[in-house]
Order: sequence, then C-alpha cells, then structure tokens
Amino acid sequence: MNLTSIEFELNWPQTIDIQNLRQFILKNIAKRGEVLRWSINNINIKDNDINLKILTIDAVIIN
Amino acid sequence: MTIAPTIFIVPTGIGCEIGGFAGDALPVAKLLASASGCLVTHPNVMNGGSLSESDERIFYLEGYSLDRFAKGELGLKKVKQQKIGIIFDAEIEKNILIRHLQATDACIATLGINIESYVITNNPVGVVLSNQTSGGSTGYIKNPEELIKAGEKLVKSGVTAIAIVTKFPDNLDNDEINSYRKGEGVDSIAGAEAVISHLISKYLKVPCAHAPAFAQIDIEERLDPRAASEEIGFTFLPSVLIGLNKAPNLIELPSLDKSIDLYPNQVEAIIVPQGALGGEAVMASMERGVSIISVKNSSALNVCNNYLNYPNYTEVNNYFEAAGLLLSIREGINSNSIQRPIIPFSKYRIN
Repeated sequence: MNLTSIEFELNWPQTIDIQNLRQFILKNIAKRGEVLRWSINNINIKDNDINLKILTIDAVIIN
Repeated sequence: MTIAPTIFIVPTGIGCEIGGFAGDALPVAKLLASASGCLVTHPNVMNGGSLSESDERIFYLEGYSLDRFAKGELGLKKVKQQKIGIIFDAEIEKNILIRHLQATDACIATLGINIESYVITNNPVGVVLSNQTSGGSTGYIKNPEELIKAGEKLVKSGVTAIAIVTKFPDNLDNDEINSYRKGEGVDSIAGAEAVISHLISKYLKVPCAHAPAFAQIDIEERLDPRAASEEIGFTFLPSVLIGLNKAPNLIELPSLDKSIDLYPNQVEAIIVPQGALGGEAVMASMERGVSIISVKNSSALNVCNNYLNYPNYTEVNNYFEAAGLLLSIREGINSNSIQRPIIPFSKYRIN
C-alpha cells in the first residue's frame, strides 16, 4: 500500500449541479487511485465566463 | 428544550484565523454547543496540545468519520468511557517516548481516563510533509501498513478507540514553524496529521485522533497566544486522550441498533469558514439540503458560495452571529423576522 499526495485541475461541466458535484469529483479521483482525503482547494473562472469553472482538487490517494 | 444538531468544521492545515492554531476554536465550539444543544466537531477544533475539555453536548469525531457521518453512513452513540489504546511510531526516541508514557499516566491518574494498552510499530511510519499550491499543508506516510497493523493489534486486544503518536521530522522548515508560532502562517504539520488519522478511521472504523511527537524546541518569546497551548508541556497527547475518552461509538448505517443518539438526518446546520466550502462534509451536506452557515474566518482558501451557488446558505460576520442564528433555528424563530429591512410578503408570490 502506498499513499500519494496529488493535485489536479478539473473542469466543472455546466451539466453537473452542486448536488452531483461531489460524486463527479470522486469519480475523477478514482481514476488515479482510491481516495483517502480530498477537497476543492481553488475555483478559477475561465475566460471571465462564470459558467466555465476549473476546480483545483487536492487529494491523498491509496495505490 | 429541543436541540438543533450542528456540524462545526474548521478544516485542518489551511491557516484559519480562528481554529488554525492549537485548539483555538475550542471556545467557539463551546459557544456553538451551548446555542445548538448538540455539536459534532473534530480534533482540529478541540485539541490544544496539553489542553482540551469535554462537553456532554459535543460529539468528538475524527475528520474521515465526520465526513462519513455527513454522508449519512454513520450514526453516533454516546459512551460512558472508551477503552483507549495508543500507537507509538518506532521512530520516537526513548526520552520522548517516556514523556508520552508519563503524559498517559497523568491522564489516568488525574483525569480518570481509561487507557488500556499501547503498541510500538515494528518500523518507522515515515511522515512526509508537503504544501498545496493553495498554501495549505498536506503530506503522507511512507509505511501506512505499519500503522494499520499496530491498530489491528490494539483492536484485537479489546481497545475501542485509538490515539496515534508519530514522530515528525526534526528538519521542519524553521521559517514556517516560526511564522506559525507568531500567529502568521499555516500549521505545516496539520495536513499530514489528518492523513494519519483518516487512515486509521478508514481501515479500523474506531474513534481515533493523532498527536505529533517532536524534540523540544527553543523558547519563542513572541509566541502568539493561539499557539501557546502547544508550548506548555512535553507532548500533545493529553488533548487527544481527553477527546477520545468520551468520543462516540461509530455505528454503520443502516442499523437496527435502537440506542443510536444522533443520526445524520437530524443535522440542521453546518458551520464552516467562508472560503472553505470545498470539503467532503460540506458538499455532502449540500446534497442533503442542510443549512450552511458560513463565517468570515480568513484562511488560505477562497472556495466561496459565489462559485457554488448553494441556495440554503447564510453568511455571517463572526461566530457570535452564527450562535445567534443557531439559537433561532433551535427555537423555531424565523431569522428574517429579526433582521431589517423585512421584505414585504407581496414579493414572495410564486408564478
């Protein structure tokens, strides 16, 4: 078992509402490993368009 | 009098002005527990090195388990007293280990805490610290299985809650440590501490909390009061043991156990710093429609509701206001009735 600290950016699609955002993030972390701890640590607005949001996700994963 | 069960979070390692130091959100927790009648919070709020308190109204819950509670996966059951075991990292020097064993003796002799046994890992746990680009602290451990194996031994021996003490690197960044002690920076070890306790919670499913072990450091005359509780003893273990002493049992849901004291669906509000809405407990609470009370409490993060647009959201200026809002929820008083101006009812027509 290895623990790794990762950070990555994730586009937040307009089709995902706030009630489904957590599951969307977890699915994307799962592509990298089994999650132990995570959070959104930043949100950027792309091209001044409030509908284009980029999340910075920090996580510690198990693999 | 009814209660308004509330979750109170100050995320670990993000440099919050209140709660980013050594248990310096504990007075806030007591205030919010008084206002709500029932508060669920985590070690970063309650643990002040050598100092802490227990409160019948406060459920002390490690972060990973708190997330699971917020997701609706765990119920909480009060206990008279946990049977605590301690994991010590094999890398802890003999003199520091003796200090921790004596701190444990003090908690048994003076506080009446039931600490049954301890285990020393077979090999060093290997704590590694790192920083996030946001400025928060994080980290990991090189040998997670060492911790899990040690914890399994304790659980097999009948222990019901686990304190973990790991050796943190002696070569910590002096600038970071000095800034923290002067009240200016982020707690550089807090993120790694959370990873350690999350690991035990995930695999052993018992109440747990972590205390770091350090060699003694030089006196800092310009010490910030918020960091002072970590300077008055040789170990940070007492606050962990005080917290775990009456930490609730974690009951997997669904459960037929009729003696659960608090279910996730009873939670009426979650209180969190304004820029820290991106944690799992908060997001899970949003899924469940829980009221979010966001308090101005500056930190390294800026994950605010103007990005998330969660509707059941109230922003307040300080924890006094948060306590007032909780009281109005608890007493069933419309908070809009207490504020001015009052919007005329004619504006509320649904078309």
